[in-house]
Amino acid sequence: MTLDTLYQVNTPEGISLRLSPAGPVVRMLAWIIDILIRLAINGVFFAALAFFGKTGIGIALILSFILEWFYPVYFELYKKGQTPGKKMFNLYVSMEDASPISPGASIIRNLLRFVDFLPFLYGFGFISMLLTKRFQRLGDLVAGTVVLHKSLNYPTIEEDKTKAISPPVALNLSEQQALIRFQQRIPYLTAERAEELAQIATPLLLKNSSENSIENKQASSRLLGIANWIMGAKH
Amino acid sequence: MNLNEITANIRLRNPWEAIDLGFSMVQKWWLSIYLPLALLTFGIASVLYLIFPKGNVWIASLIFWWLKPLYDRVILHILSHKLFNDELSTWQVLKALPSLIWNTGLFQSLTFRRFSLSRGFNLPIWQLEQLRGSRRSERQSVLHQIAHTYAAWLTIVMVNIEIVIVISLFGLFMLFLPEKTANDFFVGMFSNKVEYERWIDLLNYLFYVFAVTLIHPFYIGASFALYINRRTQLEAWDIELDFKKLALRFETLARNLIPALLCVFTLSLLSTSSPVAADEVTNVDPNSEIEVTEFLSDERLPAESSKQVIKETMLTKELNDKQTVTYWVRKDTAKKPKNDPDKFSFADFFEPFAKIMGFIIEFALWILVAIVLFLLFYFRDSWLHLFNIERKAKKESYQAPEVMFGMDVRPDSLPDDIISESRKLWDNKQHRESLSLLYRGALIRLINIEHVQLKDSFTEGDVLKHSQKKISEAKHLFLDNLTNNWKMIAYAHRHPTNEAMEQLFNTWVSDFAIEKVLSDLESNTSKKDGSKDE
Repeated sequence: MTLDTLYQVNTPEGISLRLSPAGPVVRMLAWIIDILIRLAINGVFFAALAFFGKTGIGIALILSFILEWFYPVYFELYKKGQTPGKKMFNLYVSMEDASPISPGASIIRNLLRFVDFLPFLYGFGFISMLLTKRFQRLGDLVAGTVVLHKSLNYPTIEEDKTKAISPPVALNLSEQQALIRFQQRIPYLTAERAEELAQIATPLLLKNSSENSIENKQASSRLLGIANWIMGAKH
Repeated sequence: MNLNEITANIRLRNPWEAIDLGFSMVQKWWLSIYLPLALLTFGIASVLYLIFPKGNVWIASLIFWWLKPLYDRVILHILSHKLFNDELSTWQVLKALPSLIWNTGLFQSLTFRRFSLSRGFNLPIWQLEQLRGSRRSERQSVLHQIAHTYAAWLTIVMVNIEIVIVISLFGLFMLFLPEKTANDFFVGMFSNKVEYERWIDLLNYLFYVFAVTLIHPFYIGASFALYINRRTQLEAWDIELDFKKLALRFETLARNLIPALLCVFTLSLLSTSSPVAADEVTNVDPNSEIEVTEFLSDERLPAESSKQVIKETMLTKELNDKQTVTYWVRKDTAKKPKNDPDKFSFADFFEPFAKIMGFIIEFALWILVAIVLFLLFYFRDSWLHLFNIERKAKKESYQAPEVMFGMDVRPDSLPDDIISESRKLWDNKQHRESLSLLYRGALIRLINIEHVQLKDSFTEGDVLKHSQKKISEAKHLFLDNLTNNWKMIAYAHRHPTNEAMEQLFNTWVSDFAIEKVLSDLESNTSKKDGSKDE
C-alpha cells in the first residue's frame, strides 16, 4: 500500500470516490484571505455606523458578531462549501462521505472554532490537524466534516494528429490511463524524456511484429497513436 | 534511486496537495523521524544551555534557531531513505551526521543562504542531487519555475505555525496556573518590574526547542514532497512507473503465452470446468493485478448484499424528498372523455341540475360583486384617501372655523375698537376678559386678514406654529407674547403686569394690527396686491 493523502468512499454502486483532504498550510492561507475580507467588512460597518454614536457602535458590534460566527456557515451552506478564501485555493468543506455539508454540521464546525482557536491562534487546531490523517481540526472531528481539495482537470490539449493505431493486445484500465496521461503530458516533457518513457513501454509495441527494438523517435509517436485510438479516434 | 521501490503514491498533484503529502509522510514515519531528531535537537539545546546560562538564554535560543539548516539535513536524510523504502536506525542516522555536515552545502546555508524563502525546497538539490556551481543554479531555476511561489509560502506559513505553537504552549501553561500567579506573571513580563526568574527562561527555551522539533519535520517533509511533485511533473515519474508495470506484464505474457495456451487446451480436453482454466491463466500472470484502481472500488460488495445496501440508500431522506406543489391548471373541456352512453352515469343524470345550480350560483356571485362595487363606490370617501394623499389636499376646501377653544371667532362678534374695549376691561380689573378679547381679535385677524388656515381643532401652540411661516417676524413675535400671556391667565390664573399689558396694547397697534402691505414690504408684490384687495 503506497502512501497518499487520499481516502476512498465507496458508493453502493461500487464506485469509489477518491477524496483529497487539505492540510493546514493551504487552509491557513485560505483563512487569512477570509479574515482579511471580514476585517474589511467590519471596517465598513464601524466607519458607517460610527456616525450614529454609541447606538451605532452597538449595532456595529452586533453585526460584526454575526459576521464572525455566521460568515463561514453562510458560505458553506449556500456557496457549495466554499468561503471566498477556500474558493481561491480550490478547497471546499463537505461531510466525510463527500455529501454536501448539513446545516447542523456547519454550525457545530464553526462554533467549535472557539475551541480550536485556543490557546492562541488555532494552536489546538494545528495540533489536531497534524495528528489526524484527514487533517481535521477539532470542530471537523465533532461535526464529521472535512476540508477537501476540489479535483482539478488537466488542461485539455489540442487534438493529436497522429494516426490512430489499435493496441495489439487488450489493455487494462490503468494501462489505458497511463497512455492517455502520456498523450496529455507530452507538451510538458522534453522530446528526449518522452522518447525515453516510450522506450520503456516497447514490449507493448513489439507485440505485433517481429522487430526487436524501435528506432529513435518512433516509440513515442506510436504510443501516441495507441493513445489516440483509446481516446476514440479510429482512423 | 529506484522508482520501483518508492513508498508514496506518485501521481501529478497540485502543489498544495503535494505539501499535504509531505505532512502525511511525517505522520506515517513519525517514529523514525522524531527519535533521532529529538536526540539531536535536545542534545544541541542542552549543550547551548550549559554554555549560555543565566540571563543569556536568548543567545542559546538564537543559535539553536540559526542551526535549523542542520536539522533540515537530518530530516531530509531520513525522509529520502524512507521514501525509497530504506529503513534507517537511529544509530545509522547519527553516524551519517558528519557526511551531512560536510557534503551538503551546510556552510552556505548557515551564512548567506540562511534567509532564503525556498531553502527547504532547494535542499534536495544540494543534498540528494549533489549539484554545485552553475549546474546547481540552472537546475534550481528549472525547478523553481512553477514551484517557487508555493515553496516560499510554505516557509512563511510554517514559520508562523511554529510561533503559534510556541505561544500556544505558553498559553496552555498559563491556563493551568492559579489566576493570581498568572496575573502577577503577566504584569511582570510586560512591565519589567519583576526580574525574570530562571525557570521561566528555561521554560521558554524548552517550549521553543520543542516547537521546532515538532514542526520542522513537517516543513521539510512538505518541501521534499513539493520537490518530488515538481520532478514528477518534469519527468513524468507516474507514467514511467505505469509503463514499467505495463512492460513487465507484456513480457511475462509473451513468455507464458504458449504454455498457458497449451495448459488451457489440455485442461479443456480433460473437460474440466473452465473456471479452473481461468485460475490457471491468472496464476500464470500475477502482474496483471492492478494495485491502484482508479475508479473502481477496491472492495466490492457481493450482489445480494449490495442490493440490500442500494435498497437502504434509496430509502434515505435525500432520495425521497417528496414535495406537494399546488397550482392552477386550465380545465381542458374539449378533451374530456365522453362517457359510455349505454351506461347509466350518476354524473350524466344530474348534469341538468348541476347546470342550473351552477347558473344560480354564478348569478349570485355576480350580484355579490356588483354589491361590493357599489358599496366601495358609496363609501369611497372613507377609503380612497388611503391610496391618494394628494387628492386629500386638493379635496379639502378650507373653511374658517367659527369657534376655537370655546371662543367665538366670527369677525362680526368683535367690537369695532378692540384696543379701547380691552383697555376698558383691563382697567375694570376684568383681566381675563380683556386678554381673551385681545387674543380673540388676534385669531380673527389671522384667519381673515392674514389668511392663516386655522382649524377648530388647533391648540394655542398649533396656532403659533402654523402661523409662523405665514406672517412677518414682528407679528409673530407679538403673537407669541400674546399667546404666552393668554395661556398664563387662562390656565394658570396669573395675569400679566400693567406694564406688560400696556406693551401688548402698544405693539398691537405698532406691530400686529397693521396692513400686510406695510409690514411685509420684503415679500413679493403679487402677495401685496392680493392683500390690498381684501
